[in-house]
Amino acid sequence: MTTVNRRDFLKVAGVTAAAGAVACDPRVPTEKVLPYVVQPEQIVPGVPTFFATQCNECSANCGIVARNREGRVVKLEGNPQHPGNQGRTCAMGQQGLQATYSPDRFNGPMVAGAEKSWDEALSAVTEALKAAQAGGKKVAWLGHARSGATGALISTFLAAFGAKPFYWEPLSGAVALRAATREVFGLDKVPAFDLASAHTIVSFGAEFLSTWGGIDLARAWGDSRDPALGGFVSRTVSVEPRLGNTSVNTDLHLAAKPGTEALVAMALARLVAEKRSYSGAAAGLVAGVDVAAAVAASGVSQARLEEVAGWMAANPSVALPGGVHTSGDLTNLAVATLILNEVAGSVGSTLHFGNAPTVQDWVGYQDVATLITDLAAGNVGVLFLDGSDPVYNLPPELKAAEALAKTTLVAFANESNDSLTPSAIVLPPGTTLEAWGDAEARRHWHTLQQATMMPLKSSRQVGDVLLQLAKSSGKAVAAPVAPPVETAPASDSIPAADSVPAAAPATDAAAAPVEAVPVAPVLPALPGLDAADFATWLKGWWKAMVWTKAGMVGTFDTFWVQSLQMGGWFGPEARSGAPVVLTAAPSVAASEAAGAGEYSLLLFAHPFIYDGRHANRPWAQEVPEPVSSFTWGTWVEIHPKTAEKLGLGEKDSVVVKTDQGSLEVGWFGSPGIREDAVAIVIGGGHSASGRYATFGKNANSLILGRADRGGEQVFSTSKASISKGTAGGNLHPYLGHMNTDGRGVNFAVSVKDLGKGDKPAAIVPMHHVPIDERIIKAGLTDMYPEPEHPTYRFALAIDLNRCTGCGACETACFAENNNALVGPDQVRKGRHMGWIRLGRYWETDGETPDIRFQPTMCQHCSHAPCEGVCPVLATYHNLDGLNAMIYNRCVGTRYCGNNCPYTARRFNYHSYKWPESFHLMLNPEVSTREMGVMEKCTFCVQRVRTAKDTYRDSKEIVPESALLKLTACAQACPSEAITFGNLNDKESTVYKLFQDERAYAMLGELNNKPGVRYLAKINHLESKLHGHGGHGGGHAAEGGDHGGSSGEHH
Amino acid sequence: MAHWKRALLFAAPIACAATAIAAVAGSGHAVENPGDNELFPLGQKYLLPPPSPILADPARSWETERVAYGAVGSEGVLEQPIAYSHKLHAGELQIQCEYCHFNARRSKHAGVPTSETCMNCHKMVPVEGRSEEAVASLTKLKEFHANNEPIPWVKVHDLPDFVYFTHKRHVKAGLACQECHGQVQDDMTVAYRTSELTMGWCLNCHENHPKVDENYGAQAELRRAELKDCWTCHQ
Repeated sequence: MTTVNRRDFLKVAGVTAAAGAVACDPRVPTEKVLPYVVQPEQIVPGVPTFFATQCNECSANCGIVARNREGRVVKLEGNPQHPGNQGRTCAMGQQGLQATYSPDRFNGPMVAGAEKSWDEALSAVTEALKAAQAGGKKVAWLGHARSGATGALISTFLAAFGAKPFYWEPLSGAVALRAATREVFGLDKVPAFDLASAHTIVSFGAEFLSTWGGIDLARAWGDSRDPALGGFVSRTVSVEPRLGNTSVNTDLHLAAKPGTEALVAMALARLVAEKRSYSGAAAGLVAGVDVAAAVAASGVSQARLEEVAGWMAANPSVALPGGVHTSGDLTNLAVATLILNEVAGSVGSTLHFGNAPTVQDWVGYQDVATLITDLAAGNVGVLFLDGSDPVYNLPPELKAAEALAKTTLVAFANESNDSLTPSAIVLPPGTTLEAWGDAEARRHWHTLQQATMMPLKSSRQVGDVLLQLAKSSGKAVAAPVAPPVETAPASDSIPAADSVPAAAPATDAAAAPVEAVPVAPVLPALPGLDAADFATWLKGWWKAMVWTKAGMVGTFDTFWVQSLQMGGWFGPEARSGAPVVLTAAPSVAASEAAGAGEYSLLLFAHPFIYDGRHANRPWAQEVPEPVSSFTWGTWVEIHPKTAEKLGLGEKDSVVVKTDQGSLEVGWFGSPGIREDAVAIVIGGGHSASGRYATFGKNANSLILGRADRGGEQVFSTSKASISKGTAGGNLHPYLGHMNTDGRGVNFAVSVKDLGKGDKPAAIVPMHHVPIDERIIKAGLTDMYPEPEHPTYRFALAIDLNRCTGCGACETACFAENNNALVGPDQVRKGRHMGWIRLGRYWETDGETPDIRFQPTMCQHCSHAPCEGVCPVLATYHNLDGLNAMIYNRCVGTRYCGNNCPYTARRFNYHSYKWPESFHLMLNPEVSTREMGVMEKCTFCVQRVRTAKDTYRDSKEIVPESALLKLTACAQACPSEAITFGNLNDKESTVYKLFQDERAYAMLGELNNKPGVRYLAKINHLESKLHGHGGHGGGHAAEGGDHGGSSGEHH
Repeated sequence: MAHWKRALLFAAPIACAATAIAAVAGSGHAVENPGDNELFPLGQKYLLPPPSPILADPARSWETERVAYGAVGSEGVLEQPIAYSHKLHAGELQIQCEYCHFNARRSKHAGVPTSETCMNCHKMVPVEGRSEEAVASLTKLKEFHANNEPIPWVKVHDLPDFVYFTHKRHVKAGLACQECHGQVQDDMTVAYRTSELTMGWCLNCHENHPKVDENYGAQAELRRAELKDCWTCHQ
């Protein structure tokens, strides 16, 4: 490579510029156009086809709709028919697309690292199964949660080998909650929670807005905070040692000493019981609780406990027990939380057993550890691994890798993970989008997973493999008994099948009175292992188990087709409570971490990577983690004072050392964590889980394995010491600032100030620029005339009071708009290509933190600063109110980006490439951008264009109903914070939101007339004026000297 | 003189100059991209323009490129895998355009007929007694169909990827296919372009086409303004 110096370059530049334009035309002159040989019925080239299916990214199994263009799925959207997510998706759900197009997928089955045919691989498994049986060894199954017909097949198959499946969701805490429910209510299930009607939501480390439960909780939380819906604004109280992805949205943070959450819950229960004069079955359980001892142990003040207890006693409330974010014994905490709910009168209303999550077959740490011991002893002949990664997720002391080497490992895996041994038999099952399946993640919510595209690689769905293995190992027999059909209910209502009487009347309007049960003459039989294939099994099981629930109306075939179209069949179930059966007061002693070190080590789940299973999805790594705003890597969260003590600089690394090992990682200074604790994120640092999963370090390697009495893992078991490292943090936060530095871009109002005047005093538009009243009255504030918007003025309204900072909008935007993946080096240079920046402003900390999120995209200003400075008119304001960006007109001066006060524009410093098979995921409606081109949010102009095209057929204006969720961000938002619409339509939701008392334009004083309005967050603080970062109140109206625009990025 | 000829006169010496400069600068044009790595591949960062694929390929010349890319008229005929005649099918046999291009009314793509569509008729139409050329073509068609292979037609009307163009709107506006595609039924034994498909050519109709007045009446002026919006066609 010859280098060219600058002088030579300049000499030739002028000539080659012209030459480049004419002589060296790189255009490929001829393209082929390939028609189908036989036209598939459902596909019109150029028009997307939508298939309803289910999401398998976590155990909630939400309904999704796959958008298929010419045979490839290019986007996942929420299924509006699903009663849980109701058309919404989370960030993890959006990433599901990347599983299918991952460049690291296996091409086909493999035995001991060599690619084999399916026959060879399956006969190897058959041999192993036969050998295991002959040798008297066990067959075992460890995997992610499965249910429905798929779960039934797995159970039936394993039962033929005398085994049962282990469904392991390591971070969920569900097994602890199940153990606690059994203890307190005598039921072998877990409750469901209703946040929408709760005035007070007390979370004990429950990540209910992120990885705990389903995304219906986020919407319900948003509803509970919406004063227009219930006439109240709920309070969120979090009891945990740090502020996580959910608890940053809290109103009151009780940073209990690690391990003492259960004590706080019991103390609260006693105080609530006193205030409510509770005399029910749990009265004896709380009577003896020593509140003063709990106060002393946890460090939470009694006054605060009294305050929370007062709220809980006065109005409906709910208390949520957590998973990995809980620092003590999870089962103790879950028991205490259930008792707290009982005495607060929540059982049967905000905590109920209607459509409860189905976790019967789930196992916790205890069972998995026993399985590992069994494996190590050589007692297990065949282990089926279905997605789980025990080597990554288990503490190092269990030596899972060595144990796995002693069995024949049969892995249903599309990509490698850390647990695949060299001799493993790999059977790629195809991804969610390629294979059939179903689930019943919550009772009577049956989702169907249909194949939405042809498999990219040689794969066979798990069901087909199991049925083939049953045949080859001589277990293919018919179902032995008549199906255990539940009482067949009327078509639209399901009676509570619980054996216990309801403790409280049902509050759900959907729970209609139970009608007379129609007598079903012949009940269809369950399929057996002799089923010809999985399709037969699936339909047979649905006929026997679901169609019967649905009342056996019409023919099964009609029911089946309907279920496929709707994404499943969803039966409501009456909310029921249960009487307390626990008689002895539980012992909920504080749990102590072991080992040397002055800090308690906490673990927390990455909101996108979760327990590590999504580490090879680059969107999970590239989209900044909302609280720390870090991308790509592992970091330790420490208190800023601790950092000061260690003398840490922004780019320094920190060595976290426990008795189990040490890791050197970057750090994040979080004001929300206790000074005596450090927290490290789970999810990064895989050894063999694909190319993107190698970033970061494995936090699980630092902890001591310990199960609580319910068999659930205790995550905070180790003490840690920390010191300044030498390697450098090598991390860079996407956001450079912790707060707005008083620039007034993000407002919050006290609930007490609402409904009093035109605008709460905290929201003062144009407060920086003192304009003479006479100028405003004379209409002389604008130099240029208002642009004309004859038909549409598209606009977004974003309710910051509903925004939870979950990152779903950012990920959906990446998926819809072909945003480039740039990697950590480029992110560090400020070249992140996400069109939405999720602002996270830590305005005040302490017990009543005020942390605000703000999704910031192009504001589509009517007087846009970017437009005037473009020398080539590549960006301009169009008739629909959109700030248009024409890529192939752009010459890359970057003037527009520099002039945008919102830093909403992104410049392509390179032509970023998509690795092989990610390119198939690209949305064909959106141009990919090249080096030297500016880009930014377009309000999903391709969707706007499609909607206008649809309605132009009848010469109509696109109606409100088609616009509300039009953009990818508005469509995804789980808590319904984002609304799209046409401002010219004075009846539209977005117009009304623009007139709301909380609505404000970001940097409105610049008079850009943006097309985005934010609705200020509502908090419960006393102060009236909260526009100005962390200064309490008092000077919003003064104007002050906050010069300059916001520049927290780049 | 067609504008491509002017361009060619200008281009030849400059192409030579570019080659000479490339020789001065070294054998490679691309500068190594420091941000590039295996995980996050970047496109090459060019200091000089990339080498011309046209000059590099001995089978291609400015003449072939002119025909393939920019030519308008019967001289720009591209070789197709099967010698299909629009003149015969659309002209003599009077088959409607939308019989084969079945998506024109409902999708952005007009749709190239599946070989199944061809076979709808051709399994009935005897091959015997046809010209040698016709027999050869029909044999090819039947081979493609029997082998379940798509026919690799060469795109005659190829718009850049950043253009959003939808047949649906144009058909529904009442435009005749011939307005853009020429009188295929009269003289096209093999399809060729009769339109430039350049931005100016598109805008010409978007500004002046009488159908806008016809369809939109009092709203015609507004519609014309919308049709001139860059985001109408640029995606």
